[in-house]
Amino acid sequence: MRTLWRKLGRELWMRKGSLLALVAIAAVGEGCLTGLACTYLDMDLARERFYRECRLAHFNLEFKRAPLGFLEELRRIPNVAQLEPRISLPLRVEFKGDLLSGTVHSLPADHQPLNDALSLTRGSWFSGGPGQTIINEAFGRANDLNPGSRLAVLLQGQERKLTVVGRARSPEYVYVISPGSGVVPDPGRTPVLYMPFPELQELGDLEGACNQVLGTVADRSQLHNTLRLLQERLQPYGVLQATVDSEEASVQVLAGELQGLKISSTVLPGICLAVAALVLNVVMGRMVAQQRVVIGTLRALGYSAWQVARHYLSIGLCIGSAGALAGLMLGIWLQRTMVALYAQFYELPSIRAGSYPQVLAGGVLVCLFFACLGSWGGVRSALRLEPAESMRPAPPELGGAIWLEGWGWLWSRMSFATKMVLRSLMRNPFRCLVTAFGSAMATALMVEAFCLGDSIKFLNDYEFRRTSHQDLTILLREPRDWASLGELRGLAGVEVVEGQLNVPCDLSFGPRTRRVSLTGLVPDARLYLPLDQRGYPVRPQAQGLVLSARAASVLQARVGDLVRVKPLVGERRENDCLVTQIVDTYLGMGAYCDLAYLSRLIGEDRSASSVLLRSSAQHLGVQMVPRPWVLGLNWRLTSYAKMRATLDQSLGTSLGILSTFAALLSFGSVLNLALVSLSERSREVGTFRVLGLNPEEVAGIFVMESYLLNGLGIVAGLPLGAVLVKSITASYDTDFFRFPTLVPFHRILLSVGLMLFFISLAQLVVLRMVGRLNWLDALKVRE
Amino acid sequence: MKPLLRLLGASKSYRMGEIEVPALRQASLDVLEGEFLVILGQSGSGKSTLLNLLGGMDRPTAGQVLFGEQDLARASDRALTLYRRHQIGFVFQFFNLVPTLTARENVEVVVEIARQPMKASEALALVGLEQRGHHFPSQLSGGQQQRVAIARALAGNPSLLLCDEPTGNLDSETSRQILSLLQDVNQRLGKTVVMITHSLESARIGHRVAELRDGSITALRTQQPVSAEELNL
Repeated sequence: MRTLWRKLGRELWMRKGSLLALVAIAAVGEGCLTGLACTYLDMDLARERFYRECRLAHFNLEFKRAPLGFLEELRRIPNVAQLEPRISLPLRVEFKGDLLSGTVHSLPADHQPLNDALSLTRGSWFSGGPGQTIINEAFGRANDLNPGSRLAVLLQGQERKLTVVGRARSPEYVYVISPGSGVVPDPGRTPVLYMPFPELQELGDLEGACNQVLGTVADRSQLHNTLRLLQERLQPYGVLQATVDSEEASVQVLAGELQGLKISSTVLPGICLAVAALVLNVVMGRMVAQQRVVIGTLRALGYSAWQVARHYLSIGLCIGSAGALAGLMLGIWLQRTMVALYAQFYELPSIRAGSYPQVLAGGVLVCLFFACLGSWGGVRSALRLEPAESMRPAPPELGGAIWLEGWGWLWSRMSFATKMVLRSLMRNPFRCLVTAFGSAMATALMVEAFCLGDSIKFLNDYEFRRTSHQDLTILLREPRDWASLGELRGLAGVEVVEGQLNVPCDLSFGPRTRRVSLTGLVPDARLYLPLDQRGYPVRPQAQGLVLSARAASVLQARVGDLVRVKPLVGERRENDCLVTQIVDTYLGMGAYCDLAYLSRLIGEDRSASSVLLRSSAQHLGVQMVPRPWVLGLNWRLTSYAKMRATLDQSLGTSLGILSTFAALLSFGSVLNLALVSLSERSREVGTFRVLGLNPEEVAGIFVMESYLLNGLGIVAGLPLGAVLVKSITASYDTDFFRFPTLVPFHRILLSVGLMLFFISLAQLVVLRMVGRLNWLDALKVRE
Repeated sequence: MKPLLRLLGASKSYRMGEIEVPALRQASLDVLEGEFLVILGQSGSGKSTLLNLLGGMDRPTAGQVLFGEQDLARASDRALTLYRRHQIGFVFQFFNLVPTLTARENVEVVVEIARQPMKASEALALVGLEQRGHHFPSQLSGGQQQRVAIARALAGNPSLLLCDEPTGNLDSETSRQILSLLQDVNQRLGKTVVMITHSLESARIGHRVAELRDGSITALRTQQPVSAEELNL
């Protein structure tokens, strides 16, 4: 069979251009499959390893203050496996003239904690001296803070100078969403510090006590019940928050990302490999039809049907193997690129591109399977061809009138070329479907590539530009009487001052309870207002709640329902509040109400936990330094510019990859199918040339057919793209943000324009082929 | 001479939609070992159908095709494949060379699967093309292509050479050369040759001529073969 292999090699080489395009589609499919699957494994293994080695706490309970001795009683609660006290306090870091709000957590002075242990990247554990701190790796890296660096902090209203002794990662902060940074982490402005437990006890005025416990349970299935028992016991100590690990922001975002990755690693390769298989099916079918006599000759010479079939299957397998090989390399590159991209956003210590032979082997097998599937139609035709039958020319194609011909007035007005195109389309429904399917999928990918980026950018714009209009947000260490903030109005250049009150509350409706952040807004708020889905600002009424759609859906509450609100600060009195409106916001699972109303709910006068300023004043930050009640500052436009730069860079990479894949998909499928059509009708081309048509006029017929079919594909691909965007954005949904499904008109235009460009590029090749076709030979050729 | 292949009352019909079209009716014919048998008939007379039955490319609708004890009419696909592989050498009107293989490689297609093949170079030498083994079909003249096809047919050392209008696509001088080559194969190598033709003149080179008309063998005559060189084509 060596000779047949030589035949195969030469035939592949003769069709190298179009087959290369087909190989490219298969390679993209295989590359996406292995690349994304390996990236998923890298991320998943790194996550699993980090959580396991650093013992991510199963639960986390925050309260005002509880004596350490009481913990023994908590440990006796059934199913509690480990329980450890912690102190967590808000702190302000003064760094390069900026005031950053952050958190400081306690750690055992001389050993790792039982849960949420740190993975030290630089430096060492505390050595016993005062004022030592370990900082989170991302913050240290972004600000070039190393062991030995000094940090000025404001803790419990007192200024301190801390010495950095180490940098570390924590399973609690793999992905850090800080207030004011949108959905993209801004590690340089998000300090998380760790200090020895005894020192923080003293600084926090918590001698003999703690304000947080972390722990694990023996039986995870009973985690929520155990947490409820713990909350009940801790009730006298003012429980503020009880969180299970899966509800942690970082855990949720990472899980959402992995879920999205999983979907992408199925959808993208599925599309590409399906298109490759369908196009291969058409190409192989044509090849077998063209080689009908060769097949007959081989059978006459004594080759069995299976030997011949195997030969044609080998052609498909060669294309599949080339695709698999190129796909492996593409996959490895894609994995490295993606992992590097993820490493920018996720603080996982062992995140690196690993090698997974089983995934690569699986990818190759899947690619070969699709190649076999695509070749099967052609192979089956070769198998079915009887030797005597194959020695005779193929019977002429069945041709009858198509239904359009029944519309005489329309049909008679069409040019002969249009009639030919329409007849050809209706007599080759499978090929037409494949052509349209290829274009539809490529368009869908193109739409997805552009619109996913838009969704992410929209979400950032939504937070930074549409809901927020302040120049500066001042975060307060603790809620303050609104009247005492009047001094800010007197500062030079300050134009508008608005207070905001954020209170964690338990909202209950029926048997359902959910902890949400309830935001109180001033009645004449201008600097921050939530928007409904149509983009209109929503102003809470003097009484009652505005629920986010997500919170309303979790509680199954509707407008007009009375929801029980239990604030977790202040008097903690339960109140029944009327739901006045539901807004479909994109950020958080929050609720809004009037600031004075919320203040009354917590039993205080009008108070605020943050202040929004519109100001033209310079050096406003410096003026805030002497005010110890200021926890941190967020400069909206600076943060926004930083986020845009980060997004442009990371989205540029992924958008470039996706749109290149879509381009390959469209170009490859259009080219192959157009060439099959040309080869089937080379005799017609010859006839037209004899009749005096020039190559452009002849190619025009094929071009018309191609644009018609691919145009239909593009039209079908647009809604498919929207579905794809919706399914992928839905997979990233968390309690903290929800990506909108956006398919803006200019993106549709761009996608259609690009698709037409790639289709036209393929048509140029067809035009060249028509020009180069030896039409006299084509007329003589005996099919 | 004893019969190598026997056709006993073989009929073949094809179904075209509702209609049954007979291509061969009750044909009986012995192909004798070592002879040069010519099947003569006009287009549509059933020559190719007869050749397909003799070559194990097709099965008769009725009747028998006996190769020794083996009835090809009832043989399995596998048995027919082996029959074609080891017993038959085909020569076609349109040469049927694989365009992407060189002359030598076209011959090797058979060499690789035959039981006792010749060397490809040896087969090409027999037809006088040993120097052109590396040429592709498109680089050879029609006559040279047909010589390659004959070399390919001979390479497997078959018992029987079946030639379907081997000169139907060639000019008269080349036709004479090809017929001479076939005659040489029959006389010098002792191969049994069955040749289909519509040309009365070409039919003169055979030992026997079977005439076919409308699917029936209407005459079978023995003649003194003339040399291909003497034919007035």
